[in-house]
Amino acid sequence: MRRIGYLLLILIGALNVSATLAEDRLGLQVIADGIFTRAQRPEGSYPSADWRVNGQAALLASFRFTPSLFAVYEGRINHLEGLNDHDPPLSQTTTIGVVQGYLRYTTGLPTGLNLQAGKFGNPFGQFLTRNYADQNPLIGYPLMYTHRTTIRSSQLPANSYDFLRWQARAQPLPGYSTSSGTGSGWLPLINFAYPTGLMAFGSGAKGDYRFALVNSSLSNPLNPTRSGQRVQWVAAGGITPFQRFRLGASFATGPYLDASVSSQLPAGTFWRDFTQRALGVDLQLTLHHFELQSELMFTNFQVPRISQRLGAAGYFVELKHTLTPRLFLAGRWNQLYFDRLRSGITNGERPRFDSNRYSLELGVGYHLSEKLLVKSSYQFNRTVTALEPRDDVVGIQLVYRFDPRNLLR
Amino acid sequence: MWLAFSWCTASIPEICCASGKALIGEAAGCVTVQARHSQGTRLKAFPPRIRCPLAAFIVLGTLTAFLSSSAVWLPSNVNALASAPPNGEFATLRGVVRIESKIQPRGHAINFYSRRGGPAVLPKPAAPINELESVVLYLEDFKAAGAPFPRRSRGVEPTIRQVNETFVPQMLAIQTGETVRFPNDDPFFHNVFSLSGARSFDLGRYPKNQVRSVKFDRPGIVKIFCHIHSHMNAVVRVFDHPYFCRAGSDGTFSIAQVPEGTYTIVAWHERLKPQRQVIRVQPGENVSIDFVL
Repeated sequence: MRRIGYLLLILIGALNVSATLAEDRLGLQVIADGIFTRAQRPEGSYPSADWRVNGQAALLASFRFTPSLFAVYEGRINHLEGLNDHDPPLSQTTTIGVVQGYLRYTTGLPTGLNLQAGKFGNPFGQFLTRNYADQNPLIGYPLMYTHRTTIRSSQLPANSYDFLRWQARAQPLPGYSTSSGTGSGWLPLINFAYPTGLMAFGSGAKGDYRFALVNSSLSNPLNPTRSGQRVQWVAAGGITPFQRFRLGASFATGPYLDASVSSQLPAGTFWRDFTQRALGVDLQLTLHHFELQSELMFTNFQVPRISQRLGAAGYFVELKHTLTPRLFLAGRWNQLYFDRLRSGITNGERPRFDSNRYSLELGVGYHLSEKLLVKSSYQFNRTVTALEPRDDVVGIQLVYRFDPRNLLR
Repeated sequence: MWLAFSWCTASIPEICCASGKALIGEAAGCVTVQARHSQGTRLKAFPPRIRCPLAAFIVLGTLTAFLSSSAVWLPSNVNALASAPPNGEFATLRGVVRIESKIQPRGHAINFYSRRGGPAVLPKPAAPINELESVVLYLEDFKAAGAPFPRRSRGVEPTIRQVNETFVPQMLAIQTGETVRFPNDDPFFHNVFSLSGARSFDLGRYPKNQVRSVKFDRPGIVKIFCHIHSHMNAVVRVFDHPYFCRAGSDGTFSIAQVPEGTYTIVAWHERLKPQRQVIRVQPGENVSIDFVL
């Protein structure tokens, strides 16, 4: 039923769009992409490699009611199989959804204050603003956005040992039991979150700011129709001392557990008592045909029955160099670090609650036309364990961005 | 000395053509009067043989500076042939273009996320574009009879600005060998590029008040975009002959110095079906042609 509802929403949006095609107030874009990857599976697995297909089409529309007021709509159709075994998507099926839908009012004040209400991209960090396939110079996303750690929103650990067992969640490796690795609720450190709420943002000559009050956390966004809504505060800002360079910072805090875990909680606690906090720093530097983007994030989770806040840190550094009008090269280095468990392990060891990971993705992109882009990349993915399992990925992606009105001419 | 001024005032309108004549003629006249008034007493200090070239130098210098700073509002069809005054060997093609077909409107900017480091306010809605100014009139498949084509004299470098996330103008017609300037007037980066066969380039990211330039050596249609703002687009039409012009805001156009012969004249708009007419040009005559797109 939910899918039918989403489909109806998209159709209504499309009908509204069709009704206003003749208006100059409409902005309309479609971004479609398909990814074909061959993933090397961890040693001992069979088959040793497999092909995967991911596809996505996004319809983006904006409509200007007045010079100060406009509405935004984004609907997506996804088919996600994940790039490799280690980072499976939550749902390996085709989904249809409304990603964004909000009203924005520009106040005209000197501070450039804008007010926004609805479902919109989380203002934390920077990568979300360029997550579309034609703006992401590589096929994969930064590791801190995709790696699903052992902290879960829908299942609670009975003790610290559960984290060790859950590290085998997607790695059918010798010595690991996968029986406890199934289930849902694996949380990334930061998701591609489109929560629902209110946001104020603006910018001056050398700085920008964002402040949002939304319904769900960075790692576990919720649709507004689901039960277990939880208030999250997000504050972010940046300085741009000169146009080639910007340094930003973000902070977010709020509950992250699903309401469904209530029955598993220790007596006297409530699922909203357990929070995720995150602090992020991001920078962008541009020199002619050379672009550098980087994000650093510290986050921690309060987990029931675990005496310490479980922290993690992740960062990436991304470089892109345009060689010719059609050809560019890109690379991204990622690392993730996880806290050690300070108690609850009886043999005196202090294992991490998740294995550290690092990843290097190198790619090349070629503009076949203004609208058509082809990218290819290779990901070296490593998990820092005794076995050092390899789960490298090689892939190719085709991206098409166009204004659908041009097809109707 | 005053002869020099009079010569300047009289000859300037001849440089211009069509609707550009009145505007530049008036402006130049104004500059001349001011120069005459303000320089007169000081020039008396110089002997007559120095005064004359000095006065001419001042007037021409002022005029050059004025033209350089007025690139944006120069009428679109000022760029007709300027190499010589009309004479009996050539004809002038004049006419009016009207647009009666419905033109697909250009979409506005989509800023789906709160920008990091850019202005938070929306770009101002662009003023309604006069699509007549995006119509280019040109002679098709023009072949030179032996001698190379005369060069057009424009006075200022052709320029496409980036203002409020819009290319201004969105249509430019130039002759091969000309260089187009792309100044960034917005307080954030733009990345102008083209993948067109006639000229592909990528100017990289550059900030406000910086200018990058591109020379166009091959005839054709060059579509211009911005890597950062996908809704921005413009077109440069490059011709290997000088017989073209853009229509004015009222649809009037003029192509001067056309030699005798039979030609196909085309009225072209990026988003409309082009219209063609075959014309016979006799020396010294004015040919009138109207188009409805």
